Amino acid sequence: MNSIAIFGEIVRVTLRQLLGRRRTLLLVLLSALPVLLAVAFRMGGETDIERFTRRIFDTVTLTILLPLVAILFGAGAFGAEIDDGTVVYLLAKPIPRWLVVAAKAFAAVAMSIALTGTSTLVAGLVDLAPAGQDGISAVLAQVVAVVVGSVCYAVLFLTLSLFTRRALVIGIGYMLVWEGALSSILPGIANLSIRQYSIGAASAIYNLSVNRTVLVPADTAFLLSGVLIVAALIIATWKLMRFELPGGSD
Amino acid sequence: MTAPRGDSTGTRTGSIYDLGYRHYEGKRNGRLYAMWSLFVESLRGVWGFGRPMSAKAVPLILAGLYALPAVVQLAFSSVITQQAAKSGKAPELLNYQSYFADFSFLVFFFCVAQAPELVCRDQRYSVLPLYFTRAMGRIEYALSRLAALVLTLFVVLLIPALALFVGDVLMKPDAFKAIGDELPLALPSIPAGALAALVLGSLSLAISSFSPRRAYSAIGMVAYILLMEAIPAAIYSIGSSSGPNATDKLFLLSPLTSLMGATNWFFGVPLSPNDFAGTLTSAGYLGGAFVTFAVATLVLMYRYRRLPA
Repeated sequence: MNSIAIFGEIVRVTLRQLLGRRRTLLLVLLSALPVLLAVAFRMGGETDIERFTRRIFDTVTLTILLPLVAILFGAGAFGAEIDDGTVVYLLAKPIPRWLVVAAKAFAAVAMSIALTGTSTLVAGLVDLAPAGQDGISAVLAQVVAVVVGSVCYAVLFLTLSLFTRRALVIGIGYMLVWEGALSSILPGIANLSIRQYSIGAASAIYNLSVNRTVLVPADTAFLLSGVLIVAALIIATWKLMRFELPGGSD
Repeated sequence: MTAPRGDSTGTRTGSIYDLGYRHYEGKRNGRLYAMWSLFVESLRGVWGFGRPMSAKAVPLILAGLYALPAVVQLAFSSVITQQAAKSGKAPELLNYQSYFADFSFLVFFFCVAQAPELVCRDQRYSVLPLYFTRAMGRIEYALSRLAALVLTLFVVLLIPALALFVGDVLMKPDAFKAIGDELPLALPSIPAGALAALVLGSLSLAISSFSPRRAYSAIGMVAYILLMEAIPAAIYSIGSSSGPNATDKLFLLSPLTSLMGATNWFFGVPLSPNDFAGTLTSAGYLGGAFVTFAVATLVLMYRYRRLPA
């Protein structure tokens, strides 16, 4: 078996693990929500870019949908196998560990982008198509933001799930406390906030920030998120090389 | 029903675990006592008493953070009085009626962290049948857990009001007159706190009872509450552009917003149009909050009736 076939197989198995659950249905419903709201906006004759960004993209997609989906899939990619104990079978195979990490990360990222990216694209096109060229570039910027955010969240929490079984809880805490409460009080942590990376990266195309100020400029945002992704993947590979199976006590 | 019966032939309470080798002839404390025991046990569980430090850290830190602004004001009350005397202006203080609105997100975090503690583990490790075979029934189980969470939230909500009260009294030169002045302002905090505790407690317990995993329960609560704050605001923003209509009634579905409005009713202050869009009055929000409490409690009881034990 060459490494591409192995990669494909791990991705396939991971997708099945992530999708075959009731919560995936809930996530699909959740990602349909921005589209429904966009339809309501369009029918109400509300096609203003700024209002759409503030009311739907910022409060629903960027604050709730994107982090929830990406953290669930990221932490679940290894987390489900560690909880079930099936990770033994994966690690017992003579597969390079970086390949395992890459395949798992790819599956998690692909799932997150498939859900939130599609939702963002459709919702944006439904509501902002009449807004002309500006509307199209705003939608593109939103998709870029969602893609950057999905990759960062998913990879970060995939790595974290190798260190602790409470990655999901930490993810919820991060999302609420760090991104939600603290980043509005302390502007200094913008450089350490995935949400701000997303908005910053999107500002290369269109300024999506609700109060018009982009805290992290586009090039810095791409650089920092790139560093985050590479570092997380390297640490995950390193951790998987010396991975100890959790004891049976819990 | 709960009295001990001497004969060993007929149906006896506790016959499931009485295998017939050795009978229990002592006093049976009955259903209410079982509920009381679970209530006490739940209270200890929420605060992490009798558990390792790591279980105490989260509830105590979150409750402490919620009380922190009021306690800081209490600690600096002498400085504030001197500053006020120097500048001749009345100092800008935290007040009882807007404290919940300003810091309610911390109470929400408390619910997200601690409500799953109460209901998830029993489902995860399939120990519910052990409760239900005893005097405890399903509804009693749910209500005991709910009562413990509500009482906990009530305490969390009242600590800052108490700190504000003590601080405001000590800042005045004549303590007895100050108590007389402050008490009418402070007392509405008690029913307001009780209402917020009932609504937040029932809502968060109802949501978290739907998953045996604590993390997923927490995610469910976060998603529900944040979405219910965002969706009505979005729909209202379309509705309001085409003149006044009924879309502002949707704010009754937002748990935190409607509680902020409802608690204002006890203080008798009108809602400021900056914080509350639409035409709903605080009495309207109060009604909405009671409906939310009733629905959430019914959902919780429905869930426990349906749970496979």
